[in-house]
Amino acid sequence: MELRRWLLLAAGLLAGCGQLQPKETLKHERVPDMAETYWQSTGSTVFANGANWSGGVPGVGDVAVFDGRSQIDAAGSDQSGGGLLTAIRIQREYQGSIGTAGNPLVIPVSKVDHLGTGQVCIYLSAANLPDVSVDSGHSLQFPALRWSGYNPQRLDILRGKVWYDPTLGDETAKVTLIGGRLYATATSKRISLLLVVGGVAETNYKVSSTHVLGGTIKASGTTYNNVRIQRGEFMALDDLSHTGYVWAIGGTYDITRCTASHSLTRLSVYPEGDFVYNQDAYGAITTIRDLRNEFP
Amino acid sequence: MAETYWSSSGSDVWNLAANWTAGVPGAADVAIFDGRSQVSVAGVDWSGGGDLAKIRVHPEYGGNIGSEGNPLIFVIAATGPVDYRGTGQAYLQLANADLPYVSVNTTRPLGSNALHWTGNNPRSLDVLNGQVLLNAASGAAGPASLVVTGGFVRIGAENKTTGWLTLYDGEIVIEANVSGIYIDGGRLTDRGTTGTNILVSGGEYIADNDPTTGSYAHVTGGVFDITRCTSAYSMAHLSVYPGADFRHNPESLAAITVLRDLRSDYP
Repeated sequence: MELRRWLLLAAGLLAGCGQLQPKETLKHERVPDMAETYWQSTGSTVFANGANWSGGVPGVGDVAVFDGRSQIDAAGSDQSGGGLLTAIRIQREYQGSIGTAGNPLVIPVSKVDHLGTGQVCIYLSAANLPDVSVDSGHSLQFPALRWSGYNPQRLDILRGKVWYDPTLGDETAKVTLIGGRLYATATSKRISLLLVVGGVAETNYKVSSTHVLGGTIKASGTTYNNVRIQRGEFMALDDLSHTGYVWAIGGTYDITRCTASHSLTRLSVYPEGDFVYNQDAYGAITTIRDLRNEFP
Repeated sequence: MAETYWSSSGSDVWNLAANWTAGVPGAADVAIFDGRSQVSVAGVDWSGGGDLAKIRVHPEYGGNIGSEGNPLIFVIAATGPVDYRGTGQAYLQLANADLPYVSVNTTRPLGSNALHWTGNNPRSLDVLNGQVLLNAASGAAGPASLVVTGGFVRIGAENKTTGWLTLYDGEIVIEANVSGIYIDGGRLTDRGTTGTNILVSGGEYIADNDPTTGSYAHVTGGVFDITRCTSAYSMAHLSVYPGADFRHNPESLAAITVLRDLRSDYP
C-alpha cells in the first residue's frame, strides 16, 4: 500500500512536471527532435559526402550545422533533390564559406541562421518560405550572405552584408535591417515590408511599404507605395515612382537627386521631420501637408 | 474659395450670417475661427449647407464648437482639411464621406478632449498635441493613417477600422480595430482587435484585455508588454530583436504561435 502511494505520488509529480514544461521551453530551447548533423570535413569540400558530416549528409528534416569543428569550405552544389532541410545553422565559430556567387549551394531549407564569418551563397530551390537571419562578422565589403532562387518569408539582418536577389517565387513578407547592409538587386522579387532600424539598405526594385527607424535607405528604380520615416534617412537616388504616401515624422526625406519626373501622391512632413528637395522634384508631389507650418 | 471669419459678438448660432464676416460658410468656403470672437458656437445640423472647403481653428480661439450630444454636423470637400489649433473643445460630426485631412495641434491641457470626432471618418488624422477622441462610426473605415506625435488619442470602440497608426510620442488607447501599428515612442494601450502588423522600435506597446493581434509583431526596440494577457491572447509571429524588451507571462507567451527571439544566438 505504501509502495503504491509513493508510485502514485511520483506519477503525479511527473505529470505535473510535464505540464510545467512547456511551450516556453519548446520555444526558447532547441529541442533535438530532428537529426542534427555537423560539418566535420578534414579536407574535402563536397557537401554530399557522407564522411564530411557527423550524422551523414543532411536530408529531409535534418539540421545542417557548421559549428567550427571543421573550418573547411563547403563547395556549391545542387542539393535540390535531397529533400527539405529543417535548418542550416552556421555558428559563430565557423569561418569557412559555403558555395560561391557563381556556384551557390542549391538547396531547399526551412530556416537559415548565419552567424559565421565566411561567405554563404544559397540558392533556395523550393518555395517553402524560410526564415533567414544574418548576424555575421564578415567584412561589410563583401556579402556575408548571397541569397538567390526562391524568396524567403522573412529576412533579418542584424550584422553583415546581404546580397538579396531572389528571382523566383513571390514577394518576401518582411525584411528587417538592424545593422549591416542590404543590397536588393533590380531583379529581385518585391519586398512587402522593409524595416530599417540601422545600417544601409540599397534597394533597386519594388518595396510595398518602407519603414525607416534609423540608418539610411538609398532607393532607386523603385515603386514605394508607402514610406514612413521616423528617424534616419530616406534618399531617393533617382526618380522613384511613388504611387502612394510618404510620412516624414522624423528623420530626413531627401529627393534632391530627383527631377520633375519624380512622382508622389502625398507627402506629410511633421515638426521633427526634415524634407530636402529641389524645386523640380517638389513640383512633382501632388499634395504636401507640411505640419511644421501653422496651417498646412 | 471665400474665407469667412467667426465674428459673433454674443450669439452662438452657426447659421446666422451676422456672426460671420462674409456670411455663413457654405459650399467651397473656408470657415475660420481666428480669435476675433471668443464666443462659443452651438452645435447644429449644417449638413445641408454644402461642402465646406476647410475649417481652420487658430490657436487664438478659445471658444467651443458644438458640445457633447450636440455636435456641429457638417459636410466638407474631399481632402478638407480640418485644422484644429484652438484651446477650446470641438465636437465635430462629419456627415459626408469625402475623407478630409484632419490635424490637431493645441495647447489645451490633456484631461479633456480638444476634439471629439464622430460621424464619418477622416482620410487621415494627425495629432501633434492635445487630446482627441475618435469615434467615427459611420464611414466605411477609420482613417487610413493616424499619426500621433504628441498628446493623447483614444480610438473609441465604435470607430471603424483604422488603417495604419503611427505613434511617435504621446499616448494612444485603442478600443477598436486597427490594421497596423508603428510605435517609435510614447505608449500605446491596445484594448482593441486585429493588429495585422505591429512594429515597435521605441516606446511601449501594452496589450490589455487580450486584444486579438492577428499576424505579426516586430519588436526592434522599446517594450512589448503582454503581461496583462491570458491564453486567449493570439499572435501568429513575434520577432524580438536585440535592444528590445519583451514582457510576458507563461500563458500569454504560450499564445504566440512562433516566437523568434533574435536576442539569443539561435531563435
